[in-house]
Amino acid sequence: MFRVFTQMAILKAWRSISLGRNIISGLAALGFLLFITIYVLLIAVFLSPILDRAVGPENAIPFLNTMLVFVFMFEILYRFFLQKRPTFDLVSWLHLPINKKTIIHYLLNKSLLSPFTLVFPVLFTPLSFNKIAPEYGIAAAFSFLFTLFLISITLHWFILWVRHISLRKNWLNILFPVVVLAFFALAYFNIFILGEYTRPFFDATLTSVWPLLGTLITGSFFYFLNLRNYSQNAYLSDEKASGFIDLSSGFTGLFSRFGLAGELAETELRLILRHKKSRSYFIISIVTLLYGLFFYPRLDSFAQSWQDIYAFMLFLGIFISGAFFIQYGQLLISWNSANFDFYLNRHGGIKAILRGKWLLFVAISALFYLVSLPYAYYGLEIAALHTVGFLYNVGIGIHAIMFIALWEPKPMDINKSVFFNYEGVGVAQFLIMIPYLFIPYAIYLPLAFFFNPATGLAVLTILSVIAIAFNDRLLELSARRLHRNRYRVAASFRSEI
Amino acid sequence: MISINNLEKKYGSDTVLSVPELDIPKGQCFGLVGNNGAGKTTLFRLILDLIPASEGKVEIAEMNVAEHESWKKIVGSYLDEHMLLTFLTPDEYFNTLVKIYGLSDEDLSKHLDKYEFLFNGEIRGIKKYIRDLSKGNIKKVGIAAAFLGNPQVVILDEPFENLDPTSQNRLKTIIMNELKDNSTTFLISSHDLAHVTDICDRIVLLERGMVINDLKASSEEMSQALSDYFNR
Repeated sequence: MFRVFTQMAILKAWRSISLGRNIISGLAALGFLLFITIYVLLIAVFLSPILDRAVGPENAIPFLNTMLVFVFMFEILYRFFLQKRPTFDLVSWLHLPINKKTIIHYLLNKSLLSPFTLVFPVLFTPLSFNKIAPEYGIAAAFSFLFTLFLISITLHWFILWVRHISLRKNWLNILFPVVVLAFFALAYFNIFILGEYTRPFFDATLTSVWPLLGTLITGSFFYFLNLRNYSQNAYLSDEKASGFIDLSSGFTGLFSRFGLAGELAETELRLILRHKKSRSYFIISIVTLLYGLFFYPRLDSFAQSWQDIYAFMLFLGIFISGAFFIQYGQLLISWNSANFDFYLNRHGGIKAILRGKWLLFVAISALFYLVSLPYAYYGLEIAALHTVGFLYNVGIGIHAIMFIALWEPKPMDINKSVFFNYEGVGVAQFLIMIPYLFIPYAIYLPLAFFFNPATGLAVLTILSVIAIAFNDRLLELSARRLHRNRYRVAASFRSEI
Repeated sequence: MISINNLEKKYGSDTVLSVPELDIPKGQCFGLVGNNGAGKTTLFRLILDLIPASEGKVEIAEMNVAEHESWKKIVGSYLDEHMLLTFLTPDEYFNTLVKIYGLSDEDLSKHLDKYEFLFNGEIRGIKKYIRDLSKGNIKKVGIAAAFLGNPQVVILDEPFENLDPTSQNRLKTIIMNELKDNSTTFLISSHDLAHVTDICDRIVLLERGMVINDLKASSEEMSQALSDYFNR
């Protein structure tokens, strides 16, 4: 049965309509993975020399054994945040004469096919054979390495179990990482060093087989706990009609004076607040508002001259008021991929949806701009530069992002989480920031260099205001582009079931 | 064959289905009718253990569906296209099922031959993924799959919907032959009252999750009762 499941998983991925975009996003993820792999490999190779250098060759292993628990706690954290709950298309299989347990076994084992599984073997193999084998013998090296590997696997099952529990008990999502971090803090301040209490366990791996067996038993225990949990919940998703919370009814009529476009702006706001992915984008952009706090209090230490400071402050001004649409606008029309036909079907729908998005982007930019004004506490220039940045965003920036985002838009599922989710990401999204940031600096920097910064800012402001006057024309550019590509875009959005 | 006891499905405090008792004997063609939202699909999903019951139980061949699984060997079903693997071609899908049911290729081609007159040459040997077929043809794949492995119970949700009139009649012939030759038990939901009254010897009427009428009579009498209800 596992063979059939695996074949089907491969066929499904291979024949997916989204194969193209999966490959592109896969490449992005692969690049990131490569980066991490190189890090892990470098640490692995140099781990024993580093330890020798840091605490002396004779203390290296005892020191490592004290620290290991913290390494594993770090693993707990990254697994907790990044590890995906394994999923399966239950609906295609449940009615067939296959044991649920078989499906769940497959599901659980498939989840081990993850880069996380390899981190510990890679990280500790060189050390085990270069350092432990000569001192404690080859058996000790194997015992040490296998125990670490098994602990890593046990944590995999443990985290799956915790994530399962936290589905019901949401507070765990906060409490769990806080407790883990607390152990780091207690050790950092020398109050309670957990490592000293767990060290005997890791020491014992060098002389005895019990730690290995103990870990094996614990790991199996959590595996079967997961098996039971998943089997009991192997039903079609079953959450309709439960707790419908309307976050957005308070906004009704906000954009009503803008006609159809205003109506669509409001609809878009509902879409944002009612879907997981868009909600996360919105929250992330609110957090971006705090960026100023990192830089403005220490502005002097960042830059060498006033010119650098202005250029940098302009960047922050653009970035803070544009925080929302830079992120959200990149995937402009992909947000509506599930019901794009609805907009195609309306008279003037394409123009209206883009105008609605424009309205919403301007409104949120204005809101962020106003909220960012108190940064003027750190210098009045900040308010001036944020104003220039805001005007640039409204006049030029939004149109730049929107126009490029319409280059080969891809469908995506907006109910998924944002972590490592590259759905909807294509070439456009990799390039989109270049023109957006290039335009203001192409105007500002030469003028600031040959004349003075004030001239640069003034010209940028004037050009932005002129662009605002031509707003409808600029919007028309994007609308015409989408109108021209409407069949291709709609076909690619429609194809996924 | 199927017995339902005290079955209830709730979402929060909303009871969407409540069936105190219902027995479907072997060989019966059981028709399920009712307006949208009456709970027809929910009832089928509960019978197939696709969603957990809030209360009560369903037994197929004396097995509680939530506790056992071997009943799946004698039950074939098709509710919607999510039950298929739509990224396969129809042939690939049938071949996958054959592996799962442990049948031979010979069994399969014999089985599919029986359905060829329903397929009308548009399913087998076709180089298209199921997801790219028309709705009617997707339905035909699902129905043929539900009949695979000589099931004793076949559960079909809206089998006539999306089929062309010829195919609807051919499907009726297939169902009536199965009833006659193998005394297969059928559970069929439909909005097409004429078809249901033609083939079924019993029709249950659902309204807001409750059984409000359990008709066991001649076609004409059931037709009359249903037309009275739906023409209110």
